[in-house]
Amino acid sequence: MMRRKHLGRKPLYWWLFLVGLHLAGLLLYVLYIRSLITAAYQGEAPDWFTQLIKGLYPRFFTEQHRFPMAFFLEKADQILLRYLLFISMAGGVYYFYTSYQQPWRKLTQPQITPQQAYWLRIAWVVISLWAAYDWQGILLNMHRAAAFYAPISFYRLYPVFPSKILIQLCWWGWLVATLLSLTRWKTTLWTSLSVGLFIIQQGWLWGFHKMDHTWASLNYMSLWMPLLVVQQQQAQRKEKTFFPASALFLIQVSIAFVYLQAGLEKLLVGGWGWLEGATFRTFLLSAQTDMGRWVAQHDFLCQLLPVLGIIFELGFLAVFISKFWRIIWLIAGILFHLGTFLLLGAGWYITPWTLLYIFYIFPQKNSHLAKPV
Amino acid sequence: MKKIIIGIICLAIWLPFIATTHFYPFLRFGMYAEPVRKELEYFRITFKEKAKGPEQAFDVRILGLDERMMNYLIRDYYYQDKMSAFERKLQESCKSADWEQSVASWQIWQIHVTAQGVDSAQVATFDYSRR
Repeated sequence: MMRRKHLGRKPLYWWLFLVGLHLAGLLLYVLYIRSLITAAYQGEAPDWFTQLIKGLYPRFFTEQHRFPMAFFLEKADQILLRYLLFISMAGGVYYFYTSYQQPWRKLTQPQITPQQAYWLRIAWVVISLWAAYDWQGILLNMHRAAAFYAPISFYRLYPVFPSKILIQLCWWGWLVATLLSLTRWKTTLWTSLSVGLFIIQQGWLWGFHKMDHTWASLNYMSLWMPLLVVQQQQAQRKEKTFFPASALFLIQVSIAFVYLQAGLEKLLVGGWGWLEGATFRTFLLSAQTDMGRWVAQHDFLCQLLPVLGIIFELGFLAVFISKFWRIIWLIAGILFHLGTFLLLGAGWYITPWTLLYIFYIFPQKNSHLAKPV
Repeated sequence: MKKIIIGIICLAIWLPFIATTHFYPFLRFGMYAEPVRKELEYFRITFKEKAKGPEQAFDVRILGLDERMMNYLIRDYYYQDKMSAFERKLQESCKSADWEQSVASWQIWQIHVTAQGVDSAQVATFDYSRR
């Protein structure tokens, strides 16, 4: 009997079908959809396509008066390129998952004790309190500029800046839920409520035309905190000394994804031109910090620093290779964020980005990262 | 069920990157990604207490906003050609903040930053002394 060829756990024809499907889609885009976008710009697209654009990108019909056609074609090309990049990475991860079960388990299920999980939860509560202790005051002050409020995303369902009472209710609700999340009573519920209210309040803060990334990594990792609580509680019920904390891995990988995406954005949007010293120098001059002005006078530093920054962001997944690389990359991360503050005025000496590194340095048993350097 | 939720959140984390836009709370990380071909710009607000008096910097913190946030606000209104609406909202916000300073005119400045240096131009003025 002839044996079918396999790639990972899936037969080779399954992969070939998937690649073929994407190639067909790519061909369809190049030969047909691109010309439809051009037609839509000129107001000559078929009705079904015009309706589709209205649904997916309603600003198109406003923006077409401001930008040339090339802008929209470039945007569409970018989306396709990014999708192909994402699907290739997802395919690579799936291949690793199906082909190397043991290393996959070691990587994605770091073993920690319920006590360690509790310490991590305390760390999360402390970082959250530090992040949002003054949000009530900030939001109440922002109330003066309510006329400028431009709700983002799902906030458009309630397009009015929240009343002072609602702001106070949410903030106090968040504070109580965050503190109660450390008790044994309804822990998952309080943790979920704390995460939800943290995100809701933040959405109001970014409702003034400027999106800030200060708390982005904290948001992403917080989404996994209820899962960490559930896994810890299950381990406690079964009286396990160690338990596989996949939630901890999800926290770590979510933060790593943020760095990877930031690095990819720079190359996809700015191209290699982003690495030119002139670009970085202009950012420095715009920020007008003392150290930034000094660095701007040195060509070599203006050339070197953006290259190091890109290597750091694109390579952050190195934290999963070994303990040695994890230490190197986390130290680089501290210097990176310190640099963005001192040179570009973004952030502060301490940021939630670096505080969250505690989720990488916690001792883990049975993981390949537990081996001595 | 657990795997589906994990899959959805992981996809949601990548969605803004693919679609090149924010889907709050999932964000696109395009900060400092734009290449600077020629220049960067930012905006500033000044006001005159009397028609022929000196220009004074307007502290946007009076409105509960920081400089960067106000900069984004002005930029959006300026490029959408909605500076009249901006002025109306600025007045409304000052009133809401109980800012009792008398204002004869507002000036909006656009500041350009290039590798060679910094220069500025007045892009809007709202003069109440002529009304």
